[in-house]
Amino acid sequence: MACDRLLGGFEHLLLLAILRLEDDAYGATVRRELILCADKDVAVGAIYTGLDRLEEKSFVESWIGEPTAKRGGRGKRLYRVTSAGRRALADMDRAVRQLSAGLRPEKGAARA
Amino acid sequence: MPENLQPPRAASRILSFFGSPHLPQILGDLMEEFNDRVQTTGLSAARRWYWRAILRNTVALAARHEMAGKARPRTLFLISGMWFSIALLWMWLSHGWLMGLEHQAWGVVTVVVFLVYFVLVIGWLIPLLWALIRLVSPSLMQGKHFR
Repeated sequence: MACDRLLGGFEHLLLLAILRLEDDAYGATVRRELILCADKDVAVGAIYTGLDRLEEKSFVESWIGEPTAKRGGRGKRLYRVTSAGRRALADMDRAVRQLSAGLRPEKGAARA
Repeated sequence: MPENLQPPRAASRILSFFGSPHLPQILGDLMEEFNDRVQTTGLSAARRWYWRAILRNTVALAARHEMAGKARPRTLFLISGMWFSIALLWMWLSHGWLMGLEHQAWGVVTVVVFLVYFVLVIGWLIPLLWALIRLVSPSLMQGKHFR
């Protein structure tokens, strides 16, 4: 694999959710996306923990948005996937495709 | 209906107690979802959701060691107190532990356990009781939740 830092399952989902949300990715919207698309109801605190890990690996970057009244005067922490993050996602997709080629796990049989 | 409502302050204070580095963002996200839920499910249901969300986030943050160095023991203290007190209440109610006071040995054990229980539980029981009082007595809520 080209990337020396592997993505965990939750990190993989977080990166995909941020990509889907484009310029509106922050805790609440990422949580909503995980519920809608992945059927994962995760506490927003756990999402920030995962996003911190991704930021440490330089897979995402973040900045603080403008405070809004709806949020009690608190700003959003917005996230964007970096080029390293996109590469990690591509590597992960390639690895999953190669490893699952010819397998039919839903049937209980190792090979088709 | 007012445009923006305040979620239960006692619940927010529980999370504020821990000092997570992402506290402003977490509280902002929860308040945003709280306001959305007020529009769709009503104020009472949104408050109940907010309390559950705060407890879930407390557990999630504690489990992932996200607190600052000083806050971590307080988190573990609060979480252990919460579960310990629930377990003790269940035992007292279902097994009649208070009957043990008739015998000296059981009496000592019960008093010691109660003292530990009291110390552990005090950190979260006060804000919970305050929130319950405000829920039961609508007059106390007037002007508190509306901005």
